[in-house]
Amino acid sequence: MNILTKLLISFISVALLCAIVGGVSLNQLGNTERGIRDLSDETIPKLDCVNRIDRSFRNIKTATRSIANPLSADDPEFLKRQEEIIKTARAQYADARKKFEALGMSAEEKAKYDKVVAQIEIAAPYNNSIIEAAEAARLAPIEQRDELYRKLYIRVTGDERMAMEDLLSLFEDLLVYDQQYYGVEIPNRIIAGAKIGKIIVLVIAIFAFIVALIFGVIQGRLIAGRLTSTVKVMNKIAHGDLSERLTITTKDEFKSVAAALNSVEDNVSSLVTDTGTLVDSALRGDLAVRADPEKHEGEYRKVIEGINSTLDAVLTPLQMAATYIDSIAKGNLPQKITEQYNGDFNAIKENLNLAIDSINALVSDTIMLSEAAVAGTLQTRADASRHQGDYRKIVDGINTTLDLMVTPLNELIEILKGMSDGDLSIKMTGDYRGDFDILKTSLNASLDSINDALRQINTAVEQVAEGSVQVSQASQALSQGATEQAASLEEITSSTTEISSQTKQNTENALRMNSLAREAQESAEKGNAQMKDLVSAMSDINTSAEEIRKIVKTIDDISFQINLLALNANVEAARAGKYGKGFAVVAEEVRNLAVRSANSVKDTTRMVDEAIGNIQKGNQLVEGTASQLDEIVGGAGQVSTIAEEVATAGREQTQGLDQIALGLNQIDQVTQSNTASAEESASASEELSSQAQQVKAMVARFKLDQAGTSRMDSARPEKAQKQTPVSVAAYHASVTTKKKTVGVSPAEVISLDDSNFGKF
Amino acid sequence: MAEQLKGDVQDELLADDDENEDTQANKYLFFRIDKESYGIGIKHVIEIIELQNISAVPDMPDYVKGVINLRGKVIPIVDLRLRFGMDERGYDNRTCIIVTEVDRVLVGCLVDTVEEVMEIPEKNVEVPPQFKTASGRNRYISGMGKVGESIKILLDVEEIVRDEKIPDVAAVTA
Repeated sequence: MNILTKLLISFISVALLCAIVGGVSLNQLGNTERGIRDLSDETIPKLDCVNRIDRSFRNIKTATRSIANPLSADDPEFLKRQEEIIKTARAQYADARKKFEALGMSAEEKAKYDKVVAQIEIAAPYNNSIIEAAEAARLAPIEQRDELYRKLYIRVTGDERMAMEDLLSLFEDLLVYDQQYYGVEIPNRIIAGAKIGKIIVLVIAIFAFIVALIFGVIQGRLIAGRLTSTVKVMNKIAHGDLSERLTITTKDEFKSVAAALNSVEDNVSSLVTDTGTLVDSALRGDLAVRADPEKHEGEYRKVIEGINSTLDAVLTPLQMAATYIDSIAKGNLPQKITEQYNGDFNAIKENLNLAIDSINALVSDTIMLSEAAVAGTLQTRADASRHQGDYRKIVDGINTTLDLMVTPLNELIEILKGMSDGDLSIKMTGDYRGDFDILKTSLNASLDSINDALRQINTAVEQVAEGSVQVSQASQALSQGATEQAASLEEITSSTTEISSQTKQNTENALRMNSLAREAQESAEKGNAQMKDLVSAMSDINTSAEEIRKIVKTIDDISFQINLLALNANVEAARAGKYGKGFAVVAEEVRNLAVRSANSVKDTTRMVDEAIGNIQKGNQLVEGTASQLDEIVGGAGQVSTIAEEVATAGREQTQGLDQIALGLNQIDQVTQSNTASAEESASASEELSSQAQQVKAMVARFKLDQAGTSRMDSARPEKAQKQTPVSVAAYHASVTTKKKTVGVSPAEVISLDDSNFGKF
Repeated sequence: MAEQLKGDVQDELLADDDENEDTQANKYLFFRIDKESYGIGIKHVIEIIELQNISAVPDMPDYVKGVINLRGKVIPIVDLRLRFGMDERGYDNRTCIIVTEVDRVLVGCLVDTVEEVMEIPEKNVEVPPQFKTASGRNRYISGMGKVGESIKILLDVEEIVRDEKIPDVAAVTA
């Protein structure tokens, strides 16, 4: 039974009771009206008739006695008036009696009235006879008059009088009865009937009031109780608690309300479950998962379809970008992307194209430089202005490295070329660092030593040429010089060996640098792959945040509608008067809850917006980092290539040093032959001259530097001063001087020879 | 006895009047237009409904947006923004219709959104300031309600709706 039926039954019951109260009241009022009409139509006229009859009887009696009085005989006026009275009274009596009989009587009244009528039949003739007798007495002669009046008096006071008195007393009886019956009993009966009617109406009215009150309280409590449980469930929904179910078993409108509310909970719960599944999948990185929109209806279906299409829109460009970054990371540079994308996806596309362009340019320049280096044309340089940022730094670094390596090599080539032409005056003058500085120092020292040696040879040859007499001494000096030259050559050879070993170490270092650069490249590629994962994860978070924002919007709408319901309830409660005050408090509480949930929704929306902003910032940072990592990968590859080139150059350098060692070996052999020649010239002075000429011719080929002369002079001042006088004295003078000199000088020379002799 | 009964009935009627005064008097429904909050007496409010499909009616003042069918009753709709001479604004899902009753005539008022039902005691209500405007528009304002530190504008629904009922008179006087 639904509420409408219940209310209708209640109101119809109350209305029926009201109708009964009205009917009974009408009936009682009709009874009272009938009684009052009886009073006016029957009782009052009857009492009036009885009174009038009584008064006419008494008038007749009095008038009759007045006529019968002898004193009245002389007063004809009086008699005439008495006769008038009797006549009027009789007319009144006749009229009243007719009316009385017309009114009808009860049995007891009839009996009394019959007695009165019977007595009238007796009294009336008596009365008439008295009146006639009085007239006769009045008209009789004077002498008879007294007698007649006396007889008349006897009659008046005798039987006739008694008949009249009886009539009056009988009528008195009737009068008293009528007055009692009609004047007291009938009014009392009407009043009693009215009192009973009033009590009946009061009882029924009280009964109707109680029935209406019971129906009102029962129905009110029934509806209020279900409203309270409904509001409780709606509050839980507003707070996001979908677990509570509204269970109303009765078959009224509240059952449909409960079914509708439970259906709302089912739909929202299903939507939340599907959204949660999608968000979990997105957070796990599984963007291929989709929810089934056919499970939802209306706006809920639109929400799920929106999430699915958002995932579709994000997935395609992400997969494209992942494929491209993967091939770039593997060194397989793809063609430019030509598909059109929107918004941030287009920015990703353009950045990828830019990265491909930059890496392509870098690769082509590097290949050009390496091919030039392989061809030996170390003057070739790449145009650094074609590149940007760190790419330009890489190209600049390669150019600078080439510059640093080419300059000393060029100078070395120049010096060696000069040496091969016999010009030993050239020195390495450039400002170099590290191994190149060692190379420069060693080479200059070698040149100095060669200069020294050649100068000594020159001096010796000059001495030989100046005086063949002193040939043996000169030969010894020559031998000594040659020995020193051999020692210097030994030093040069060891220096060269040292340079060679350092160059090898250089090469090894370059190879280690190569392997380190490869490791750095691998690390950067790993970092790049992790960056891709990070980008996709942050994109998923962004998608989830968008979904949360949509759901929050829905909750906001629901809380607004609850607010609306609460305001309407408040308005209705105010209209319901004091009975609505309790409900007004409930409605206000519901409204407060709706306002609170709306505020929470606003906070949530703001936080989600902040999260989305942070994610976008993070995306930009990650994209920047990814491009930096790409640059590092390219740069590490370049460093590796350059290191290999440095190693190759080091090997070539080693070969050059080997050639230098070979040249030094030849010089050593020449020196040995010089020594041998000096030995021979000591024994054979004839040969000495020609040999000295030969040696001079050989030495003259070399152009010596002046600085080396002065340095040699300052280095050996004593020897030079001693040698010059010896040679001059030996040339010009006698054996004594020569012997003195030989006695001192050869001791030093021989001791040197002894210590170094074994090496030749 | 009859006089006694009559007296009782009178007492009951008076008591009923007091109860109605307690629950509806001094209660106002507040709604929002633009950034301002306005209140109307709750006794004129029948109910608040969400925005419904409004059927336009030709040859009416611009602020009469048309009529709606509310459970079988045809109710004219007045846009209070236009009624107060403000710029028209697009409707959103917060836009509400307040169904009011004046002299047994139902009229719906379009507002930006509804806020709350609040009681403002009579001692906190002051007469509105008499601004001299050419159109005399502040005749819609029945009072200024003080709530804490803020002022709420209380509107006279009868004045707002009366002009709407007789647009010809409004056109002549304007």
